[in-house]
Amino acid sequence: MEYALELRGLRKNYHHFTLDNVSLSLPKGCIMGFIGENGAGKSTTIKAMVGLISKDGGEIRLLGQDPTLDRSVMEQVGLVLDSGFFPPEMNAKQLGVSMARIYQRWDPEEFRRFLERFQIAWEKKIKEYSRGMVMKLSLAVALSHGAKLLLLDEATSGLDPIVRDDILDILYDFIQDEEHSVFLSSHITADLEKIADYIAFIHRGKLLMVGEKDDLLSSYGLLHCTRDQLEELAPDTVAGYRTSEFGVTALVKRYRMPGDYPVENASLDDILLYCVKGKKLASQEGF
Amino acid sequence: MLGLLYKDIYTAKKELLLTLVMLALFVGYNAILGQAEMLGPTLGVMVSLGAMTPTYSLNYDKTCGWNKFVCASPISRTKVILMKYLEGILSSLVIGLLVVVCNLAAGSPMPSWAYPLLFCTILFAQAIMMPVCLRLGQNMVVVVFLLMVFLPTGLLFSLNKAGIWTDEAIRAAFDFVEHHISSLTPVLVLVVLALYVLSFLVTRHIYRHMEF
Amino acid sequence: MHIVISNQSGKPIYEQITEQVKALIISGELKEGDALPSMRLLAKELRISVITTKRAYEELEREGFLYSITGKGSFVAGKNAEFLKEEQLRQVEEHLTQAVHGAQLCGMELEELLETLRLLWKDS
Repeated sequence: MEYALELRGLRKNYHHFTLDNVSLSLPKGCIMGFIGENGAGKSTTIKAMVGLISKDGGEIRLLGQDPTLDRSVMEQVGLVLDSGFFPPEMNAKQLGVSMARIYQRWDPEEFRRFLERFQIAWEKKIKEYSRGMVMKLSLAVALSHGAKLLLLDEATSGLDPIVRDDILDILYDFIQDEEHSVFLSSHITADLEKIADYIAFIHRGKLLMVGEKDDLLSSYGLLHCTRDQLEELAPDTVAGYRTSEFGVTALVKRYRMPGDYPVENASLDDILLYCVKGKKLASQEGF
Repeated sequence: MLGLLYKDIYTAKKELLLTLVMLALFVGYNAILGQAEMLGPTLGVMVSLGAMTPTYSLNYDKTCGWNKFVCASPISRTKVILMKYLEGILSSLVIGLLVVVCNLAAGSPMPSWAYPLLFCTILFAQAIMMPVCLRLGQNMVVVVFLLMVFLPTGLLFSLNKAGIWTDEAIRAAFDFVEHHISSLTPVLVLVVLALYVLSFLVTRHIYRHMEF
Repeated sequence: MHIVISNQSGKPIYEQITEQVKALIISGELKEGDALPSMRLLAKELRISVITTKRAYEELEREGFLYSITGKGSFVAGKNAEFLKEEQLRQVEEHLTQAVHGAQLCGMELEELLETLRLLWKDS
């Protein structure tokens, strides 16, 4: 299989944080959602991928090439970060002129179409934009230079549901071409629950799981039961649980559950929450 | 790579405009009143401007997050810094041209052999400022610039006051420079250019190891 | 072509798609040779992931309801609606036979069984 993105044992050491052996691969034509709580290492991973920070170990392949050796691959990689990175003094028109001399395959017509679609005025200075507009401008730039791989870091957070839906629309349009792939990090799992083919879940710098979203969602479920009932289950069936005055809710692995328990569908949020904050049965670590 | 130049010009529009207005005032003043005394301050302002322009844009990129964009683009970090130094040379040339205009407007009180010296001064100041700006920030650039101006002059004055370096010795030194200027200029230019290249290498090294 | 996806239903999304496409073929709304929307377009319209629609189409293809031509898309296969209906009928008979067996085992009368069936029919 051809991969749009491959990480093998990516490492980055900080004083109080280590990105620890992150390995994942995103097949061409697919969308991978990168989830985890704030500070879990999502931005660090993306920054290391594009070369904004240096890595302390491991390998990175974007569209089959190593961006630390050859920057030319970045012609085909579109990047949107959570904070805007364009000069506030400039307007979209000036930005377009500059971009045409930075990216070889810059498409001014495409850029114009995106701005029209986003209803962003040519002459308006970037410092007068709302957060949603800044994100849309970043997306427009990322999509107007012939990118095949789109990397988004928290691009939808802090935006209202309507703008978020617009952005999902744009991503769906982008992947209508099966050569195109998307890697997006978010702590808003509702967006990823719709669009992502794959989910990678990072916690405290470590990748806890990577896999097809449908498999992940169908292999976990929520069980409401009593404390005693919970104790009867095998420890490795329960990924995490929370107690309340009236009983216990547990995230369980469906395929390990004995037949007649009523197990509800779990959302990505549930999986995230119970794995990170839920108590564990017996003395198991992580999963 | 030209895109970087466009962007720097767009973002520095206000500053460039302000510079031009100031220069126009100076030139107008000199041309109309023909007062040669004004040439000194004019040159001072222009040399400072020439020295600061590239560091201003270096600092701007840091604060607005542009580095995050450009370091994730196909452009290598070496080219980003190279562009800043080319802009530095460009701005010194423009300033140099304006100095010539000012001098002519004031009735040429400054001998033409001083032109390369001024050009070298600007480049020299830039060579010091660029790594300082990237490493320590714009505030330190101002501090270092003031030190560069006041430390030598202060030293000279105190030596003169203490009677170690007498007026005659100073005059003799100036005479020596004026006398040998034709042979000194190429050496000076070469030294400053070498320093400029060295400064580029240092700044590139700092920039390459920066994380955004 | 109408397809409705429910997140509340316990059924996996790809199964919801395969079932509804089958129903559309049986009812004759989709005819032999009709083109289906591309997997990626369907994913966009239903707001689900491409891999899910891909799985549904592959499943339908494996069961012979669709065939695909690379670069052109997926089409309704030549299996005619009559045949599908018969297939469905055969499945109903099979299930009913099982129900009859079950009823006989616990000594149900035919009338009782029919009454149960009637109730179930009304409920669904």
